[in-house]
Amino acid sequence: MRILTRLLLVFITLGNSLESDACDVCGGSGNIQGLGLLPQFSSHLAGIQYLYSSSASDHPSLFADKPNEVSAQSVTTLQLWGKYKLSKRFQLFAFLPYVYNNNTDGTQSLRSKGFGDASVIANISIPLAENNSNKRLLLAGAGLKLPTGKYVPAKDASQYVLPNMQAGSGSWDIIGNVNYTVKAAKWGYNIDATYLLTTVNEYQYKFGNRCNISGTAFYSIGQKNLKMLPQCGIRLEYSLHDYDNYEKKWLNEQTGGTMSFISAGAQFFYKKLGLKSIVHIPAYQNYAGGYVHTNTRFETGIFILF
Amino acid sequence: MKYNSIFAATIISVIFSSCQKKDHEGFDSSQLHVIVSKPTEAQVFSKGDTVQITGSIDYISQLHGYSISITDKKTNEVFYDLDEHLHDASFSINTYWVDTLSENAELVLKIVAEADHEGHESSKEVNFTSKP
Repeated sequence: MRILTRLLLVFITLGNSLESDACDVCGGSGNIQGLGLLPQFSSHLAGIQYLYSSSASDHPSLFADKPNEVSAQSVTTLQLWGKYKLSKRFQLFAFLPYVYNNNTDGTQSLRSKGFGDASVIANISIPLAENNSNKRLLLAGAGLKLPTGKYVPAKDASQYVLPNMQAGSGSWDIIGNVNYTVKAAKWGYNIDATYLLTTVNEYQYKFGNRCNISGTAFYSIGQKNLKMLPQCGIRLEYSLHDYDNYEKKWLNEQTGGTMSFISAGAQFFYKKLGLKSIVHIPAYQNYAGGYVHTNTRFETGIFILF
Repeated sequence: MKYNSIFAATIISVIFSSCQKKDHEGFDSSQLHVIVSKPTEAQVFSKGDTVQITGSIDYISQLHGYSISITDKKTNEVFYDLDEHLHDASFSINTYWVDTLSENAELVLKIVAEADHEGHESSKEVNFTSKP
């Protein structure tokens, strides 16, 4: 409970630092890699995930006497991911996404597809005081998001796609993660907090720092070779404004914001095979000044433990 | 105690990383320049002529876009309408309109530069004539 309080305090601190404003080029919301409820700490893991999110934008035109600018965005990601146990306490995570982004504004569709930014995260388990009634696991780690995805600068107008709808960011970013799980008999909960500290890319675009915090309750059903973990929880996402030009300090106050979701889903385990499906239903959002509305998100995936 | 120190350091780091500076506050209209090179004032065109539209826009900070329009001064009918929503401190204008009018018309070319989403803008107009 103390850890939950501290993580919420971090999030509240972040929330007080943001100035929200009207929307400009409203795009799909960014996403950062979180770990969430991890399966089987004692095993290596390899898997593939499918993630889908969509949003709609409706905001006043930049130009006088013109109708509102209305657009719809969708982000589809197919991601390879894996976990490798380096030792009893150290483990390494890696993620490689392939993204397909689509932005439609009524007159045209702009698409961006390709491999996105890969991520690697190294975690260490932190010893906690012994507790006979509960099993507890605290992981803390850091990692890098690599600029493996393509980023097309704004100057190349014939290929221009909104920055947050592009396959990659063009920047090396730093990831910080804390993951805490408690299990008592068949019940348990997980708290995961991830912070992305962004840097400026070679075109002077800098995405805003981002933070995700999720809290998930779960229940274990089944025996050793066949298990099901229904789960539900909340997810909070926060991002600062982007800089259109970081060197000149051109702050894009029409980006960034806060969103929260109610999450529900389940994980299934059959021997060494796992399956995961979760929906994230928007509960509250104030992104890009309220002009961007995020729809229900969906993720699913299979993985193998070895 | 150790975890409290770690979380305190985390909060302090988050506060500093959350501060976002921007280049300036407020709009300065005297620093927003819209220049039209072509067409020139009172220029006359005939049906079938290509009207070159060239010029430039520059500002001391970031602009959000510009619009170009050609309008009949008498009827307010719009013959050319272009909106560009891009972020930069300067824009180079280089486009054209083909005169397809069959009747005499007094036209106005208007280029509007948008500095932000609060309606701060600057514009330049050039009057010209179409005589088939």
